[in-house]
Amino acid sequence: MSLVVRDLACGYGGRTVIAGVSFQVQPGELVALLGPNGVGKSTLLRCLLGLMPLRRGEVHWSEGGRRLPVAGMAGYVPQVTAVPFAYSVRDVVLMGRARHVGLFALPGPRDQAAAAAALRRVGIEHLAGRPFPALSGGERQLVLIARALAAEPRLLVLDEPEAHLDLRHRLAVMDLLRRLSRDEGLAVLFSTHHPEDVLWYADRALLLFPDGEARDVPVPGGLDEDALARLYGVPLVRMRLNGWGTPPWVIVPGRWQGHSPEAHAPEAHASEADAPEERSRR
Amino acid sequence: MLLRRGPSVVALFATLPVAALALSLFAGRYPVPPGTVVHVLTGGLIGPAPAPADAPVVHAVIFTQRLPRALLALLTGAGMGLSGAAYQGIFRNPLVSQDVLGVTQGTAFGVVLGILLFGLSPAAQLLGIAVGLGSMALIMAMSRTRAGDPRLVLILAGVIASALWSALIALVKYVADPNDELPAITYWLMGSLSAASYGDVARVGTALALGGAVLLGLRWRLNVLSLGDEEARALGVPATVLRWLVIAAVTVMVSAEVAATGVIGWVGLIVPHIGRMLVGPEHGRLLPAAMILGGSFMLVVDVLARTLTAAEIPLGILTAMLGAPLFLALLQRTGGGWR
Repeated sequence: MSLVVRDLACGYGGRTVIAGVSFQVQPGELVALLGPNGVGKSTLLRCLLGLMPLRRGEVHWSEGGRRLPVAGMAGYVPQVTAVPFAYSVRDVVLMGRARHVGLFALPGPRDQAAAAAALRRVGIEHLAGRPFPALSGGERQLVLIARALAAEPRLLVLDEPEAHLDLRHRLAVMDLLRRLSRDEGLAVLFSTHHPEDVLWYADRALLLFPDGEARDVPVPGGLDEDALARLYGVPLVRMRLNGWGTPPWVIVPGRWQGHSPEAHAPEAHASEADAPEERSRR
Repeated sequence: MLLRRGPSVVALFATLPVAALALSLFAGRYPVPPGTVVHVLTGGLIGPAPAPADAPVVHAVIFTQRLPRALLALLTGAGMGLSGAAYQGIFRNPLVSQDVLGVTQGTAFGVVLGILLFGLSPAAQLLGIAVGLGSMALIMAMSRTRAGDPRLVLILAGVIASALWSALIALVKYVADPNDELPAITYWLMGSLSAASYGDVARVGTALALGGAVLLGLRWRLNVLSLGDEEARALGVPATVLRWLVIAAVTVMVSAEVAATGVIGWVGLIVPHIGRMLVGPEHGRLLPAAMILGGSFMLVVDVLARTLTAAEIPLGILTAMLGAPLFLALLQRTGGGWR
């Protein structure tokens, strides 16, 4: 069982946004998708979910030698959602069952049970009766993850699940993804702009560089300062803070010369003396 | 969202249409005691019989006037509530009604043209239904673009179609004979159930059965459609196909209703909001609620239309006069949040 993406190319109108992307996600793996704004992270995710046509290559869910369409196996958490009416959280999560409910049917007891189970897996049973628009951003994100889980997917695809979240909710979402992949055996693919979280939680990272190259790297080894600098076009310093149970990663931007002609050249690295703790690499 | 799911709301929805129907059969300018109405309707089983001299008149009042009229009001109102709620769902916009795609104006043009050609007759009504259905084909042709938000494109196409049909209605009025045709057209356009016949009841009933079956069948799917196309597709719902199915169902209902009653505004806009206040926004509950509320509302408005004054008040005027303040009250209560 795995998500298989081979030589994928995708785009809008006359413009090919991404090309030549190949990777796999196995059950139990948490894979991050990193890249600067506009590089095509959302496009890639939409493309592999079948929400836009492929230009080239192939995407499938491989299971027991068969190649199944990804859409039927995947739960999707979009980057933004606009729920237009004050549906209750229970009703929103139940919508995740749409694939399992007949066209002219209503959700049955099995669907209700799956929705309740999804709320439990995410730990938000207490929100079930609340109207969705009244929730905080962090709570909404958890509800959308529960909605994706209600479909009982093998693969979870999330488009920037931590965007707009405060630190605590960011960690809560990452913890949840870690648990869903490691403990419940889901294949999880998420895009993000937080490389620290990737170093901290993910098994692998798929890097989409601004020049169009895509590289599947191990974490933390593959996500080094050179890769990060190339990814975001900014010199970055990667540090590991010692003196903690599990030392957290810190990524600090070096001085950016930006577009201003008078700007000074960036200092190569933050001085050792400035860092509160010792750096583990270099 | 008061009364959200308690037994009281079920009791309300069970008794409301029955009470409104009874009111509609008992009330009228020709005085018939309620007991006598029951006697006539049950074929003499219960209730006091009318005086033998009055019997033919009483029979005529009940069977050729009040009953078809009440049934038509119930069916038309139910269809408007249902289609308004469905459109607000698929357009994710609480300010639209079933008129938004121009089918109402198209049907009205067809009937008005029919009045000019054949006089107010079933032939005029059938022409109206035909133009109404043709109006949907026009919308389909106009919205065949791949760019942009399909909802916005549809609504703009509806604006264009409405403008076109309104201009054609004005043209028909301009060339109509001001002595007899023009008053007939003007009065018909304001909406009335006074000419209700069992033929109307059969046509509107058939359309409601067809369209209503589709909409009630899809009612849970409307929740998913209201999230927007991309999310609906990600959840496994073919948004474009289902949207056209909903539009087709509404078009069938609206064209039959407008051809039978003329243009009656506001019901499809306001009834879904009242429904949301009573049962919440979930379409599985909202659609049946909007249907019952719409039918009951229309029955009551029609009773007012024919009893308030000696001359009958056109329904379109009454629904707007009742609907506008009601809408204002809702606006002030919800602050435009429409939740």
